[in-house]
Amino acid sequence: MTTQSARASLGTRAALGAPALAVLVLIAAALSSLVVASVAAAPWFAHYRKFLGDDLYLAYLYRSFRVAGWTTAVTIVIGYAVAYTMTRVSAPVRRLIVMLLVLQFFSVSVTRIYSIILLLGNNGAVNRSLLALGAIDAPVRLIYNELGVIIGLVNASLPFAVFPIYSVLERVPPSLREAAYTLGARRARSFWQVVFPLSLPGVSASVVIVFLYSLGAFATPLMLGGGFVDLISVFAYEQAINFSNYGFAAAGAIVSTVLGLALVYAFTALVERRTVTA
Amino acid sequence: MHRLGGLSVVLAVVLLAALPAGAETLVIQTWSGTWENGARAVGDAFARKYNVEVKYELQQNTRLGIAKLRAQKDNPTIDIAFSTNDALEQAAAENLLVPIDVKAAPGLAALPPKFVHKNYLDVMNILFGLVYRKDLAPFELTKWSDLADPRLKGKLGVPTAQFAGGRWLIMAALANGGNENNMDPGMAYLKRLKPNILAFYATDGESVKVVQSGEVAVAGLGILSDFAKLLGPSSQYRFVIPDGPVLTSVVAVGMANPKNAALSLKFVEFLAQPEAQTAYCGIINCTPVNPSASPPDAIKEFRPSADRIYAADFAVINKKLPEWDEWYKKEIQAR
Repeated sequence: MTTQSARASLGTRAALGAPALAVLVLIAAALSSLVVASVAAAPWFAHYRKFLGDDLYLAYLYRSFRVAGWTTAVTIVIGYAVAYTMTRVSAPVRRLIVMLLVLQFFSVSVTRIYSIILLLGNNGAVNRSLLALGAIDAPVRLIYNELGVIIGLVNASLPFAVFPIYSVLERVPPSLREAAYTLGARRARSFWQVVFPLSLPGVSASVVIVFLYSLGAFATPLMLGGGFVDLISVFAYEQAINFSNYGFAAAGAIVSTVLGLALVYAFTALVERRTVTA
Repeated sequence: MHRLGGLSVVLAVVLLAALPAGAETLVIQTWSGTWENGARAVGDAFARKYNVEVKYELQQNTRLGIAKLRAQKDNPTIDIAFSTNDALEQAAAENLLVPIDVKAAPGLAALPPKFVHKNYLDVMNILFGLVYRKDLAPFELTKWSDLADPRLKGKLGVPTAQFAGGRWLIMAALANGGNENNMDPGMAYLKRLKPNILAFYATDGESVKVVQSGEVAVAGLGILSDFAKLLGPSSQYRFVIPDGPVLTSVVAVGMANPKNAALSLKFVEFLAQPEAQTAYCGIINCTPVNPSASPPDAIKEFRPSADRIYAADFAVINKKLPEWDEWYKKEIQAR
């Protein structure tokens, strides 16, 4: 019996480990090829020196991290509110919210972005309504700037924020909140001192997913940035495809990836320490 | 249920029998939208004439098409690549194309020799001009300098430097007395346009979308083929090719698969004929290079005289474009 269970356990490990190993190998191979491309045929890390030594290219980096940071902050706040609402409403309403989020997740990105242009553009529904109401004299610029890109990215990444937070929140026993009320805590205090700390693992997962998704976004900044808010992905695309300069594209991508991963590592370490302390 | 299953088997057998046994296959890479329709018109006609199968693969834009050829260089699956002459020039330099054997394709004599190159064939010209919407523009635009008019502040969309292989920058230079070897007049002009620019577009598809959605009143450079279907006497769209030198883009085809070179050459030969060129240009709204073919009525009024068409040196442009692109991003494409 012991031998049988050991065999079963080995089989399970192999079944789970093999696909994980394949994915790891694939990621490692892709990253290695990027590293090789970034240093090959360029003496003394020339591509890196050019990327890090020119304000034009550093601006891609600053802009990418700034936009990803704002997008993450806004998405997490909205996503948390939606997830929390989902734990408080009836099952049919919850299903409706899930359906809308799933629909959003699977809709064609270009169509979704174009609909934002039609809504928020100079000639869009919002500006036309405000003009008709006399609230503004000239169209307000809601797209073709960082605000527009952030709106587009929040719209696209909301499902990535809601589901991890909801999956944690729904497991928080209502009895804990009730106990807090019994001990005299008001709603806000019971939320901040009981519910929120318990939901931190979900928030942490959402932050990582939304941040990395926004950092690598391509179509949204391209279409809603109007050429003024090109992120690192647009830089890599232009250099690799339009100029066949793979080494330079790879150097920029690696700098961005390393910085992004370092930030994520620092963030998750911080959250883990806080969670353990709590 | 069993009867339905049996019927399906019979249908499958009949369908299989209807297919030509061991039919040769030609894979054509083209752009999507109207461009795909044009390629399908000539590709399907070729398939019927030679009893072969023609398949289509789409490229999102010209440079991605070349990138695809590059990626499958050792084992190509694309036989024919629709592209532009400057992009195919670059592809040829990277040995991605099969040389055209003129002796084995007598039908190519239908074209003036200047359109038959070592590695690709010019097929047709597309024209560039400025585009505006009468209902949104504050005045009628007739010349390139109109784009700098202060009344267009916040109403102008212009291409990125990389659009159409750098043609926007070259057009800016030509319109102001410069050329690809003297870009200063064009750069000074682009600086004058800056206050008017609301957005940049990287592809011709985007140029249509920003004008159609009313985001901009004027697109600084558009392709006639994209806008021709929106034009007409009662239309609110206007396409203008201002006086002076005219910049065109040449649609060209190259052969990318040595293993299917014979059939590919047959297609290239087919595409050189007036019937195929007339059919393609009827859909794309372009000017055929075959003198016996006719351009569609919709664009006849835009055809410039031959002496106005500027022959840009793309060897210079391809080399200088990364440098101009950096300048453009620092000076123009920044707030």
